[in-house]
Amino acid sequence: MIIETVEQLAEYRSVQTWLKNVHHQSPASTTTDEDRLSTLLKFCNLAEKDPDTIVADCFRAQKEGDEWKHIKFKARRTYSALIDQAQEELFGGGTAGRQRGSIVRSFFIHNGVFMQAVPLR
Amino acid sequence: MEYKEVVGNRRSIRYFQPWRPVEKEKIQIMLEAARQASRAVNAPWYRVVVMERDELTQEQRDGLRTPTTTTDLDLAPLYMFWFIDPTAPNRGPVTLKQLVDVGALNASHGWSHAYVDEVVFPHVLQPLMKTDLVAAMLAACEAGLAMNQAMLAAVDEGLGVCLHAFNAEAVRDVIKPPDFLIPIWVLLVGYPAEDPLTGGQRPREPFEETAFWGSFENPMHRDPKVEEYLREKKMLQPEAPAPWRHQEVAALSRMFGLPE
Repeated sequence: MIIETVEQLAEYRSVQTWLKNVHHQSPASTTTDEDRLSTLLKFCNLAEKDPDTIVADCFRAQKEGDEWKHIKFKARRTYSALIDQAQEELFGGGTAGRQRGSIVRSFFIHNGVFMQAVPLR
Repeated sequence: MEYKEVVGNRRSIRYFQPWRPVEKEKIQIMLEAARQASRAVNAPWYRVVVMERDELTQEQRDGLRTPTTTTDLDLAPLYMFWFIDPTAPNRGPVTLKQLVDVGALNASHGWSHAYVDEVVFPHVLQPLMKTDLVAAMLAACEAGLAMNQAMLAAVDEGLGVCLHAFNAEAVRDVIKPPDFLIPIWVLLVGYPAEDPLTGGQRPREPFEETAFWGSFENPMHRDPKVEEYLREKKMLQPEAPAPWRHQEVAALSRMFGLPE
């Protein structure tokens, strides 16, 4: 599924959750929402999925009586690898690519999907 | 540093300087502090394997991760893998008699070699080891005392520390632990890349929720004079977050290329 504009992207619930939570938790961030949305847009188009579907992919469907959401580790690993791929192929690689990759990770994290970046060192 | 200040300064550090190794002398100081910790039966309830992060391959490091392991595993230059020994009470007949011989356990309190051999070992220590959960619980508590002393010694030496769960299977082939040992924590050690005081002491529940006098119906209350004294001695410090903490976290995330 191709989303064409950041305005369309911003309509998705998972994106709104992300922006609300990242503003709350990282008020001193120098990353702008424009950067965030344009980066996520590219990633969604690489994945050929909308952001809500991407988040839903990472959790098992809740059955009746389930108290908790259950993470799908395989899906999380798949998306983690796709972010690594995007860093190199879509975001220009190097430090800038990593920074953009971490913007995408932030989207997952603030939707409850644990993601890690290998730190620069 | 004074003891109270060391206690007040300890934080779980999550941003380390990955490029700066920990001196062997400081590692020894931490392990000497652990070795002097209080321990039941005067027995060794823990073993610890120390290694530099880069002694492991990336694949081995990835294997250490549990579902909640965070990036500090990649940042910390030194790992201390702690194991507990639930069989430690087996040493009781020797270690307790050592305490008798050096005048730590005395006849004034009922202690003798015969008491160790005829009562304590067969009727206390051996039954205790028959229940795995009880033995492990005791070992974990005793090892925790040692780990805490190591952590405080590290803080006193200007280091940062953070305890983490780890998947011991990933390093079993490397560190080769005997079967009777149980992995418990990996202690990450290194020089903090963040402010060592991390912008203030972390939230704690009110004192009255955890301390009681005589019964659980009677919470203890803090004496403001004691609080003031401990503030002077830096055991009590301003609570997090400092006004600049969010900026610091943002800068660290940028520096290491981490998500926000």
